[in-house]
Amino acid sequence: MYTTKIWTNKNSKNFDWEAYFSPENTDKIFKKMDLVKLISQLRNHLKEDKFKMTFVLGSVLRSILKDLSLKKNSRTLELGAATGLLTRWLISQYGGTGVLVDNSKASYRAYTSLKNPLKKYITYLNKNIFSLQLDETFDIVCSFGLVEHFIDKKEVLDVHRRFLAPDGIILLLVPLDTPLTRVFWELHPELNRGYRELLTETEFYKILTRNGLKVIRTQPVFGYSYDFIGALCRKK
Amino acid sequence: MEVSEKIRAFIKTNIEVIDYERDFTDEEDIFELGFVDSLFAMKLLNFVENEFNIEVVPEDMDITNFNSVNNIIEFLERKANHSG
Repeated sequence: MYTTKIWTNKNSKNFDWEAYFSPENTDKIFKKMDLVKLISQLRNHLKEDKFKMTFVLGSVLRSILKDLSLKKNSRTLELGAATGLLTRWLISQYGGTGVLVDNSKASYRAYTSLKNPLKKYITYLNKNIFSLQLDETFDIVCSFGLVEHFIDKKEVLDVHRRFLAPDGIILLLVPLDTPLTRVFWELHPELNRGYRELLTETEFYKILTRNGLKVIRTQPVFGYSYDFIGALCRKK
Repeated sequence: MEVSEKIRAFIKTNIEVIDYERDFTDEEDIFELGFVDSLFAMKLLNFVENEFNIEVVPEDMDITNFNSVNNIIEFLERKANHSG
């Protein structure tokens, strides 16, 4: 149970409800607010949590991949992978192997510091996805929190398609444009670096279909500190 | 083996996998204790489904159902009551 902190008279029988709802009282309350403390509390309520993220991610991926028979020992490519949470989840559930691509040295360092037995099934390429040269295609090409950083959606989605096997699937997860998501990024400027678009489900669907992808399924995700949406696609 | 013992045994096996040695009570939040990695959450979920023959549906995917031995037991009891 959580109790919201409301200024109130200690003796609730004598509490002046008329004054409580008056515009003058509202104004007084706002003027007394400790905004620094408020921001700190809000940031604490809406913070990144890797365990909660794994549950939420698991929930959306299970919904998106429901009734889909993934190829045994699937080969996964994750673009803009950071620590490759998406690929590690897929391997932990379905087996197979993966390639992670991210040009950030910090991401690579974070990945190398992970103690995770699945790493023996994964290759990490510290490279730019737009200059990526690989001699293979993949059963699954995926990204989590990548597409929204690019104005040119065609360019970034083309990279996904380029390395996809003819019968492969593309999994995409991006933040969903909701009030909660907007508030999250306002509260965390230290995380909100670079260009980022928040898309509604309709906007996301249109972008995918206009850029050579057939959308099999989308699934909005709620319950985390921000909302996001997952899409399962194939090449058109 | 009791339900709680099965759950504790599974958690301990995964703690040993990542080289931590630490005991924990049935009330403690195993994620906040810092000795499991992020993907342990999914391994735990798979274990609960397979070991106790239940289906975890999207509505169940709340970390508070799985973050302690006692919470997992209560979750299993609720699932059993709903299906019974």
